[in-house]
Amino acid sequence: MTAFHLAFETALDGRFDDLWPHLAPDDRTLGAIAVYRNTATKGRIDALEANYPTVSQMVGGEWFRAAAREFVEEQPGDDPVLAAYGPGFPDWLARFEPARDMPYLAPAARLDRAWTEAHLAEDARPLDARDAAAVGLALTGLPARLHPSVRLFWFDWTAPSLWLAHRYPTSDADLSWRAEPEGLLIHRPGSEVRARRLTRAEWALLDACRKGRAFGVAALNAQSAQPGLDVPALFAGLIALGVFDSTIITSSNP
Amino acid sequence: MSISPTAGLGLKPQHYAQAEACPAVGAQDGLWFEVHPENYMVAGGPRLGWLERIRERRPLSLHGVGLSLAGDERPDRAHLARFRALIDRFEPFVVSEHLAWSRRGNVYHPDLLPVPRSREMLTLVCDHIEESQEQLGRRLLIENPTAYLPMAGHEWDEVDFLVEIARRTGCGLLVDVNNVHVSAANMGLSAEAWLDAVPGELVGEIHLAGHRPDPVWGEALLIDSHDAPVAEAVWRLHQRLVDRIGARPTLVERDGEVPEFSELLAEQARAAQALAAVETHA
Repeated sequence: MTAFHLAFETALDGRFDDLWPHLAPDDRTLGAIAVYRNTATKGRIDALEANYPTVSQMVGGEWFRAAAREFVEEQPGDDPVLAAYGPGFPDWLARFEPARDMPYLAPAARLDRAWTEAHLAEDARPLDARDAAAVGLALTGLPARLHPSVRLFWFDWTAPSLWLAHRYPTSDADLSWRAEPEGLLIHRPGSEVRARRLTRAEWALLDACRKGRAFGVAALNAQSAQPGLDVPALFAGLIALGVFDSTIITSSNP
Repeated sequence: MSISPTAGLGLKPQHYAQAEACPAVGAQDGLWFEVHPENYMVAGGPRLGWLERIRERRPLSLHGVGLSLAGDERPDRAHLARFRALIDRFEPFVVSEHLAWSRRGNVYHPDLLPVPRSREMLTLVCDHIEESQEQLGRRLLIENPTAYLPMAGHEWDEVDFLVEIARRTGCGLLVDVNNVHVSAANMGLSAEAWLDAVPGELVGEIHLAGHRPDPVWGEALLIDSHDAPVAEAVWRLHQRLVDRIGARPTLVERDGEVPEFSELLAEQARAAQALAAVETHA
């Protein structure tokens, strides 16, 4: 540790006394220190806004950047990979007093974060219908594995619809905030991140898969969530979406 | 890859498709691209795929911003390892970093912070460059920083300091002509004298970018903002440098207010022209 680095970092926090002896100050010196402070703060706020576009869209850029200024001071981050900056923002927003009358905001941040995670997740080939057919009935005994990009949510409120209406706008988008349970799947089976509402049965099945249960057990979960359900059809639909990881096949049939 | 790099562009995600489609004719004959490796240190996803496709068509340079070589802590091992993985995967024709710091303890500052050019800092920086070159398996080019702050502790001129670092570590130099211009203006020094003093054989790459006057201080404090076209004064300095040392791969950078790809290509063409003129009379 050097005295200079410590003094400089303290100056970035707004306390300049220790840095002064290291400088040959002139009338522009405070302005010059401000350049460094502004650059670092702007870099973090820009990164946060890029990573939470739906939140920014909901509250407007000005409100977002004012809130972000407080967040980046508390959680400046430790990684030069700014595409992943701000994992703590959803929880912070949930505690942020000025956001109290916007209960949909922290959930939207959580879903924006999931979008980023899906976007940056490792590549993997999804399990396809041919894989499933090749394994046949034995599949029911295999422990399920979801594609590494898959993020699943179940809310007691219409957070998924509201988020979808902003992030993937359509003309019939539903912008109301109601106490109505909704599920959401965010994933990236290929190069594009996709998001889609989940039924309760789909959620029950995927939630069991997330926990590594066998496919057969997951199917029973879906069945009890919605008695009379056509489970094979539901399963085929989820395979077509590309939510399962194909490595379960290769690791079971070496 | 048979393309010999002349004038290049900093690659922005919004221009991926156009960059990929850009034909290798005329001024774009030697077009190459540079990216910050930090933007590609991800587990997977479309970013890496895009970069792979660009790399199939063009030479690529990796220009790091996160190694914190002038920091008071050793370079982060995990960061070096993921940097190395990108070098192995994308085989850049050049790898560069900055004479600056950005990390202390558990905080990363998204900025290029300065140090005094003192004996203490010389030892630190050289140790960090040596360790990095070893871990990355590559010689680094080190970029001259932008100066805003007059410091008490300088024991070397900037060029002498950079030359001493290169002599001790075997690294080369990336001369950012815009930084030279902005620093000289802010510190009351001569940009021409700086450029005339830098040893040509150490220079492996040149950067050009735009700057702006500070909103409060105006022309008395120039900001290396990368959000404007390259200034005429910087074009003249570039010509002066390459007239003396010969052509070097020259990059046009634009990170803010990013315009259409065609507008950046026009600046790239101008840089290519400046290099071509040198090569014919060299």
